[in-house]
Amino acid sequence: MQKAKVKIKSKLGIHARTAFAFAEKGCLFKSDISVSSDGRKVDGKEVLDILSLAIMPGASILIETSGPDEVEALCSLTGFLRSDNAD
Amino acid sequence: MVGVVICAHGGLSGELLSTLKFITGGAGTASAVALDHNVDVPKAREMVKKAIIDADHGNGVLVATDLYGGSPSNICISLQGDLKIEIITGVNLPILIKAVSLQKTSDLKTMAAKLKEYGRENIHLASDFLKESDAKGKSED
Repeated sequence: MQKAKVKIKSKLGIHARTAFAFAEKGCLFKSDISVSSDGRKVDGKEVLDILSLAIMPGASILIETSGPDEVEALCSLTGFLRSDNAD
Repeated sequence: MVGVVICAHGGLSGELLSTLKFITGGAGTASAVALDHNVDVPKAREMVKKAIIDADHGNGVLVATDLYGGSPSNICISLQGDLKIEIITGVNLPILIKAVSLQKTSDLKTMAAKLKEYGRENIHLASDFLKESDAKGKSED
């Protein structure tokens, strides 16, 4: 299993568009993906599960990936959240 | 790919489609049919039929209507015998977002069944979440 903490820099937190793009990216990988925030863990491939975390600007989230392409998945998802595309 | 058509009263379908495209960044394929409140029913039926035929790429079309028993739903139901469609009523954004995710990989019947559950599961009382996080905060104190 791979894991990484990411601080959300977008001024809107993880909103609908970002959550959709994140989940779509996650679905490209075979590995299981989870997102945790504030003690709750959800499926990182389910857009509305991610939205249910109500992730605010500045929050730190934990992304965990587990499976055959866990390294690539983690790298892609953390890269996305740290990029301007996640605004 | 399963086609997706939103069919609803007034401008609702167009607004849902526009919001869906904004959220999904244009991923997937969906279209909208707006039925005016005073529309002629045979004319409306033809409009809906054309939209469904245009959206069908051979795997059928998921038609999302706003209200079971309303004119848009009734018109779609009247087309069920002629076209390969599944009609899901009470459309909401969770249903549409999930439809876009499923339309490339799922068959029509499976997709419709999943969307029915998904639409229901994603109606929340925000206060339930707040109670949950309050309780968690207290247990950590």
